[in-house]
Amino acid sequence: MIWITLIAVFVIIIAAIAVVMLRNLMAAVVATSVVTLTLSILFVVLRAPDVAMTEAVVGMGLSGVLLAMTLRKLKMNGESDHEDA
Amino acid sequence: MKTHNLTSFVFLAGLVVLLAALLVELPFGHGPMVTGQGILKQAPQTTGTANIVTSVVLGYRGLDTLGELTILFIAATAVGLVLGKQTRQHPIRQGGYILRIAADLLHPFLLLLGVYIIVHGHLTPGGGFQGGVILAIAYFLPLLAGTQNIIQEKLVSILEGLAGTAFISIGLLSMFKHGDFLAPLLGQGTLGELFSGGTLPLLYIAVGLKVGSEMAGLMMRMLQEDEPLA
Amino acid sequence: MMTMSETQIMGYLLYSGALALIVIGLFVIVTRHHLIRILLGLGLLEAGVNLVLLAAGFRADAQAPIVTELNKVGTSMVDPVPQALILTAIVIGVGVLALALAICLEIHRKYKTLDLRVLGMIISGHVEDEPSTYVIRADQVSANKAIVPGTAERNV
Repeated sequence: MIWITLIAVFVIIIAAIAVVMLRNLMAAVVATSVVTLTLSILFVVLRAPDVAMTEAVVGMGLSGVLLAMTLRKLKMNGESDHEDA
Repeated sequence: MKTHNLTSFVFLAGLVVLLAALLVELPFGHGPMVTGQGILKQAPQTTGTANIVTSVVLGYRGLDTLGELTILFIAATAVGLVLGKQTRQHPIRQGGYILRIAADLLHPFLLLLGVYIIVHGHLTPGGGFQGGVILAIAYFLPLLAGTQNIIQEKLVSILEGLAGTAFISIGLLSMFKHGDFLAPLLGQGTLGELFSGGTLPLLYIAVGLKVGSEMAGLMMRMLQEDEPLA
Repeated sequence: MMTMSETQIMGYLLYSGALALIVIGLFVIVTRHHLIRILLGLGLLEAGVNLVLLAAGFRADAQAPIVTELNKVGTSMVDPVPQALILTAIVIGVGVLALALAICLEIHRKYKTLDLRVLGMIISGHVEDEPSTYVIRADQVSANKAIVPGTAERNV
């Protein structure tokens, strides 16, 4: 039980730092989805299956699709040179 | 730019210290749980559902669910207002061969999964919100892959209005009968059966249909956004 | 079986992970200048707060709050009240994200850019030329002093 928690918290922190430091916007959206998925694993360890299912479906299915669709419409899914960070 | 980042670092370091001082005080693993104990003792007998979180969401805190439905409705309406009226409908680009076949294959299974999760929300983990979002994704997937060009906006908005009205009218019915808004009706039934829990499964079906049609309409509206002004 | 010290280690791990998520989300909101990246930081902040709430309602050696034939009515279960409230919070978070993305689409359609510094200068009237041919010069953007005297309270 404790090893799953340790690995999951480690992955969450690395992915959150990746959201800060990645320059490509689409990669940052993928890193946010990684945080959401690993968080739903932590919710199962904390004995909350309802919340885990909601977080997985809503965080990845709706949030990820909405963000990716908006980035495609704004044409910002490649590498961009004038975007700050 | 350097001093700007430095002040942000100092501010966040101070925030870390303050929040850590708060979080150390929180007990982990043996919380007081005053309300939780009371609910756990009497929820399966009073409401009749096997899933205690369902009875909390729909029975003990039903007004919170009504507030959440209102917020979702306002968000979907505001998206329609902000994006304005679309002037022309451009056709959706078709995906590749594998994408189209896979979307058509997944569509009925996703529909079945969504309906199953909504209807069994009071027995197993699940419920209206999860199943409603899966239904919205099942509706939206062939549209995104390009296999389906028919967009029925009127049907989706009519379904959303009907589902919201059904939720509020069930609540009003129990208010006229018992004196409390959204109190569960129709007895409890045996624990663990499909037809148990009174009106709570009906409420969850209404919630699931409303959330699903709302999210489907919202995603459709954002997909059809016009090209930028020339 | 979980002993007492294992519960303590798990508590420290979970609370420090949630604290890290909250602080990193705040850092992204405060420091970055692209609107979509600020929305991603908002999502991280919400995830961290949900984790704190759920970890506070945990009880060691308890089961999930669902009554089955293996899990009779009398067994000890975790707190069901925070789980119901977090369900609501997650769905509201995605509603807020959808509205924010629609506003971002409109801003991009009108001003052709999503950078906060450029938008601040355009809206405050500091620049008069066409928004589609805008170029930032290095001396125009300064973090410590206000560029336009009337908007001194805004931290560009």
